[in-house]
Amino acid sequence: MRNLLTYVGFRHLRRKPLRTLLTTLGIAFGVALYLGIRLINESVLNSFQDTIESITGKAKLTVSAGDAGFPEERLEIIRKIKGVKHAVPMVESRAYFVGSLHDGAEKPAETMMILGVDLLQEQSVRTYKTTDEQVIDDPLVFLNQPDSIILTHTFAKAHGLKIDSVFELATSHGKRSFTVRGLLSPEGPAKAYGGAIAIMDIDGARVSFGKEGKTDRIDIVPTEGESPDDLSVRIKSTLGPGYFAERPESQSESMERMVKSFQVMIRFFSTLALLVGVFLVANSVSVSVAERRREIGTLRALGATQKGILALFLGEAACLGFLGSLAGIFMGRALASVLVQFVTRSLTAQLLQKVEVSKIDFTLTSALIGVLVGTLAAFIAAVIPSFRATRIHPVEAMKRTEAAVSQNSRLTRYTPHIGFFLLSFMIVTVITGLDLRFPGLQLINQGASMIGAALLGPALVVRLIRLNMQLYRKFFGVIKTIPRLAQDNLLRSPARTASNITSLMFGLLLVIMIAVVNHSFRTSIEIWLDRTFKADFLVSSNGQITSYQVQPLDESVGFELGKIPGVRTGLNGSAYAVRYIHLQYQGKQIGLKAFDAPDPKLGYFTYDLADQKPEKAVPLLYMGNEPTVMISTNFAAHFNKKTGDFLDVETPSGIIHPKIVAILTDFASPQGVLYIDREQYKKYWKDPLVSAFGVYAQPGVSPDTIRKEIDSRFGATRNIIARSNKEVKISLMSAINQSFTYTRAIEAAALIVGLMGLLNTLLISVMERTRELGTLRAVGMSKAQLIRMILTEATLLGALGAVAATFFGSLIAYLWMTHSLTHTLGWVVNFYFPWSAILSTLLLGVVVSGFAGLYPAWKAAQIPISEALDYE
Amino acid sequence: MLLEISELKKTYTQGNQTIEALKGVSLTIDRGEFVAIMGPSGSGKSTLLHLIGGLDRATSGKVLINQQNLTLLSDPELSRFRRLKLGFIFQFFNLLPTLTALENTALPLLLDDQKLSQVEPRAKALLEQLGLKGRLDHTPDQLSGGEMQRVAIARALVSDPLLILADEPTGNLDSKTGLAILELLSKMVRDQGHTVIMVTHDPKAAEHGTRLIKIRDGAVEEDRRRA
Repeated sequence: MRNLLTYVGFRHLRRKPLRTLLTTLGIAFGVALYLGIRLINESVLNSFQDTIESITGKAKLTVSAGDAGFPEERLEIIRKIKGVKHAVPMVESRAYFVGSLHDGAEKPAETMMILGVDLLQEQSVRTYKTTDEQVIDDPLVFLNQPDSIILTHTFAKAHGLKIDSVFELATSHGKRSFTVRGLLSPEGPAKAYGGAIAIMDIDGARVSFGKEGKTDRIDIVPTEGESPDDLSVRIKSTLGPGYFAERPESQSESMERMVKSFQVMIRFFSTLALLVGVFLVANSVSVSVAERRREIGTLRALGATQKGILALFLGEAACLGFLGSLAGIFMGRALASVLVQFVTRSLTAQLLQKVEVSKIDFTLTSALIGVLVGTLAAFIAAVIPSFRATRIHPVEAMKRTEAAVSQNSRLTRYTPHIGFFLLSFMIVTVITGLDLRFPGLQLINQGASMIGAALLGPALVVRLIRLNMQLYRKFFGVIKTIPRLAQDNLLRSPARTASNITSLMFGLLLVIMIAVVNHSFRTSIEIWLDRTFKADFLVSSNGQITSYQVQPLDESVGFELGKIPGVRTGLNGSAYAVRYIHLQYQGKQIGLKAFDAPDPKLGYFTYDLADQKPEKAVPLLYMGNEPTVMISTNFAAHFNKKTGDFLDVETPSGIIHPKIVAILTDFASPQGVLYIDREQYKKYWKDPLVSAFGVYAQPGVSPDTIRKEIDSRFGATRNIIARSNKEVKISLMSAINQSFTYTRAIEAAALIVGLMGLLNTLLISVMERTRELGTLRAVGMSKAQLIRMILTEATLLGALGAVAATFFGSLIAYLWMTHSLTHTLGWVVNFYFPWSAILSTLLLGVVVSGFAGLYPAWKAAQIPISEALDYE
Repeated sequence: MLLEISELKKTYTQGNQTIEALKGVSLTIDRGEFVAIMGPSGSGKSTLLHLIGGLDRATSGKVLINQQNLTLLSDPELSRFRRLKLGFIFQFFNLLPTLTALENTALPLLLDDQKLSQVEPRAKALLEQLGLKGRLDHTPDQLSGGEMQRVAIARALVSDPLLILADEPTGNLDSKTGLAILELLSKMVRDQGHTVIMVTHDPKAAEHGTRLIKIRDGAVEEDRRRA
């Protein structure tokens, strides 16, 4: 067997350098995308873990109560709980770095995490080391100066800051200056968030970031021998509902849960690219078997066993897989570095909280997985054609027959049936909701639907070619010779046409599905935004308002805005305030939006209600002493709730039981959003801060005048900015676009592999028809006509492949979006057909296939006619 | 004189070796001749036929058909020459499997951008003359070997060519059908004045020719006309 591989197999690979290269590259691209996404997913999770471990330090438990924090007096209660050795408070706030005062120019807003700590107690939980290896040992000096701040060495170096440098941060009271008092080496907490952190005294942080009297977290070191789980139960029962006492690993797990479905989705897309590579290898081995019929016959006649022939072809494929995988792991590592920023941006936009990855964790295990996956994929792809090789009879193989790659074997004949079965399986399980009852089915369905479409699609392409010919004849009469010959060739061997188009169809399917999901998301959000967001300006601190990553403002800003001439105020005389926070509901993170009561004269457009009339339901949200809520459609789906039901919501003031007064559309959180009256929110969450203010101009007042006034009153001194309605919409749409940017790489990789697949199979198709092409040339077909014929075949395949991909891709995406998406990703999104994307995909199909057809066409035109006529 | 070949050479490179397939062949063929070219395998007879038919380019020398030097023609010119001035008959018939007998016959003219409706009467008449009246709409897989070769002959005649080139036209047929095909070719020469050059291994087939040229090692070994 080794001899066969050495003397026959490897030499054959060397004799066909282009095919060897194309197949190897196909695997390399597949492995690169698979591994790249895997590396990103792992790095995101490791980054969560690192950040949590770095911040929690020696603590075994962390007490928290959501974004709004909790009263600082809780610290003393916790300290008295049996089993608590140390309890150390912290205030966390994301702030915007405005820039150094020494460099003159303001830099674009950049986010950093401010940790407000009690330095007198910090050492019992966390250790900070300065760059000169000194542990911060004089906290009193630090505390005496409220503008003091410690940065990490990494951050300071990146921004040209030194000890005693002064720079500005956006706080809830506007811009404030801070002085660098120390630089931390990258150890302990300084490793978190990629070094974009700053340490302040806790009281200074409370004042600067509007958290007076509050604490965001308390880290607990238990007494020796105390079980953290037991202590957690004790703390929760002492503090009551609304509080969490979690171990670091469960904090990390909860972050992992949030990104899991997204990671599953992108892993699914990347696996598909690998699958295209599998098709490519299968095709390549099929060709090799057909081309080498006589060689196989000779080997068999000389005594090679069937097992030996099997091992020869499997060995060749595994060798290509191995080589491709080796290239793929380096390409994957590079791809991960490029893609990571797009993926984290996408996660940040989806989760409305900053997701950062400071480094890609590329380990030997990752590399080995890449090699193993690629080699195994190539090996599996080669199994069926290799078995076919073993069945070649020596006597038959010696006969002079044309190479027939795409034999109508039983398997090939039933391929569309298998595809139909797989698609039907997916449709039935999705429509009956079986996939929701058995979540494992969703993963199976994703694979089944794509493979089903890729197997059934080519059969549709063949039918479309036939239909195209019939329609042409009906409306235009006789088809011209070259297009006629091209279509005849495609129809003559459905199995060959199917194998030609499969890999490209797979790529196009992916493009269509991504386009449908992307377009539906965009359109749903766009329509919702147009309906609900009518304010002339949204006023907030600098930052990403569309994802609420802004420094919350003091509510007094709303009253100041209300005093600007021409500004229409709410019933309380303030500009309309909204507070957005994250909240835990039944162990899942949801969003909570607290709005000021609307003026009935303005209307209730902010509330895009799905099941009630706004005039009836909205007043219910703001009436009475008992809190009421509205829930988003995805919240209703996830938690099986409806209007009239009651919820158990944990707040820092205890559990409240608000009645649901309506269901509405909102896309702020994948698990769901609650709307509540801001007065109720302030009462139960004890949080008067505001994320943003909606500012409306009074009739007849120019919004520009108001904007100028806001800029002059708040812009320079307070770092508060007003974004126009149009700007907010553009910014949100661009955030959505950005969150889909990573899909471009997946599309590109799938299309490149698809293109290589088509190029490979077209070359095969040319090879199979060599004698026929020779005949055509002999009876007078010119080179140009021959090239035109092959290009027509290729582009027709591409165009009709795109039509089939559009049909199946839209069907799968429709079912996915209307049935499973809520459970996979969280959102309830309407299906919108992406007409422009479909047109561009059709065009893409033609361009890619035309491009893939160029070389085979040129190659066919170069074959000497006399050789072609003698071709066996 | 219809065909004039002078000092025709063809060399191939195979690995490090240079093989001289034709070593400066010169000959002339007149209209109405039925020339049989014979020779052992590898003698260069097929190479000669391919060079005459413009299917391959000579290393040196000239091929003049009706005063037209094929070696000077570009690919489009040569392709047009092949479809309008030459007819080919192959051992394996080389019909396109997706076209009917009628369409296969008309193919050279269809490639010349002529409409099927224009060329159909001639193709039909030729097939009928060759005894394929009831087979016009049949595809090759519905025809016997002899019928397929007759379609190939019709295709070779459709453009009323100057010269018909046949490469082992009976090599894939049984002896009875082969004989019928040879008689058909003889008749075409005798009754219609066509010129045929046929390459064959078979001495019996060669006997149908009016002239016999024997090739050995890339050179003309014998050239004699029958009485």
